[in-house]
Amino acid sequence: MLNTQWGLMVWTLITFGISVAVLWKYAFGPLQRIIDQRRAQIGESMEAAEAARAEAARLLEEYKQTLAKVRAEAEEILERSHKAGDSAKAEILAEAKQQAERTVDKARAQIERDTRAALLEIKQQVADLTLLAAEKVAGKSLTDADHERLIQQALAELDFDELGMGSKG
Amino acid sequence: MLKRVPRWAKLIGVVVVLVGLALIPGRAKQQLEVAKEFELTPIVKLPHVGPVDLSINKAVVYLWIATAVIAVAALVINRTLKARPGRFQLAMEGLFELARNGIVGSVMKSGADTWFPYIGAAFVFVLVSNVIGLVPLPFAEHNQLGFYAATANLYVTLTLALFTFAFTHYAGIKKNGPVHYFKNWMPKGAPPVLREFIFVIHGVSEIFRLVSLSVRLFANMVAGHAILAVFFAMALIFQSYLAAAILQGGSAMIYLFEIFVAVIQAFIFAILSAVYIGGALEQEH
Amino acid sequence: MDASAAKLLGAGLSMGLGAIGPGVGLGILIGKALEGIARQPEVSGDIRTNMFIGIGVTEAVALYAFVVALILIFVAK
Repeated sequence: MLNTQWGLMVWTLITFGISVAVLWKYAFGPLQRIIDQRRAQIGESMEAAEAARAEAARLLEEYKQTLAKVRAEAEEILERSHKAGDSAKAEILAEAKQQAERTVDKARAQIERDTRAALLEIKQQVADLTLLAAEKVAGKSLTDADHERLIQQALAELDFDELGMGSKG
Repeated sequence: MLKRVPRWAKLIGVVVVLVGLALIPGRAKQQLEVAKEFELTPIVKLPHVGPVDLSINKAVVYLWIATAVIAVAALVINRTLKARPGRFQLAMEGLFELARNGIVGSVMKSGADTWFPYIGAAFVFVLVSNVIGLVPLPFAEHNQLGFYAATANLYVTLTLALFTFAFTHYAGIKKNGPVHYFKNWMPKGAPPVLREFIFVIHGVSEIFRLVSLSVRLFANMVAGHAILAVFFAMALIFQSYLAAAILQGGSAMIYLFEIFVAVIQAFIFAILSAVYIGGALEQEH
Repeated sequence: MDASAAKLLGAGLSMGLGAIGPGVGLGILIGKALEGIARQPEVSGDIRTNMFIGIGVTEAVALYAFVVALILIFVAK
């Protein structure tokens, strides 16, 4: 069992040598290459994933910024429209007020004019009535000079202010 | 179906079987000689070359089987190498990674790439030889099935260890230069006579590394196979089917342990080779 | 006691006694390695590698005894 076996040593040398050569040439190199290749590939894909992630983060940031800008803009527009609305409101109100005032003034002027016309008419009628009454009292027709004098007398006695001008007050 | 049978019934069944086996009288008259399992008789006689007997015996056949298995695996791996590995390629890559990073990469600091082909090949060769030793092959006496391993022979393992021994000193001399390399065997601060003494001790320890590397592998494989053979031989000695059944259970356990030992011994052989070669490269004391 | 009996006895004794030391040593070695792994699981790979180197070296002692036993049985005259 333990006696020297040179032949076996030679055979071991041969077979082991063949094994080393075959493994070296056909197995170790290609295996190392494919493992390195795969490792490189994994590294690459990890880098790509990292880049994609960075890109996504960048895009997200960009969108966020855009969104913020848009929101600010919208707010500004809203603000502006609020302001515009306010000013329009004020304008409209002022115009309406003016118009109302104008209308009131116009109405007032009309009233005045109407009052004046009415007063004139009343003066006329009073003059006519006075004339009629004076004719009846005198029983005779008066001269034009008399007419004029009488009318002026009656009118001087009447206070027209109490008839309509008082409203102007 | 077996799940429904209660435990006591199973126990009784086992006992009945064992008693039945005990009652059958053994008829085997054959004796198994454990030592004969390891004897080498030439299968094909070849002429001597000087003192070298090149006859093909059991060990040579096992060596060639191992080489054939390695070569076939290497060629298959080479032909079918794909970026997306199949199951076989994954297993081979796992083995390769174990050898490259687990053994060489973790032990050697420099020269890992230079010496990996040798250490990796030694790992694979020893591993395949050990594992083939656990496959029953018809090379025992009278062409019966039997266990043998090429590494269960001292001269095979000695040759493998000689490779490591030679490469260790070759690597050391090539890296450090012959004078420097052997000078480093002596500690620098030691007094003159002691220095030479330590040099001799170092030389002896180098020889013992060679011995221990070869004997460890050889003795492990022989011991494992011898225990398996002893279990079979004991079954024949007791001449009883009961003993045979029990011993077969025991030998199955031993067999499982032997698979573990086969792998571990290949690992240790490769890792110690890496440690020795790495140590010769990295002399600092 | 004749020579062959002495040879067998010596072989048995050599194996048996030779296994004591490595057995204790392996127990201590693996125990310490497991302790180390339990304490620092992150370096378990290194510890395991060195444990196997240590196992190889320690176990060799028992194997010398085994070889001596073999020599006594098969070689010694």
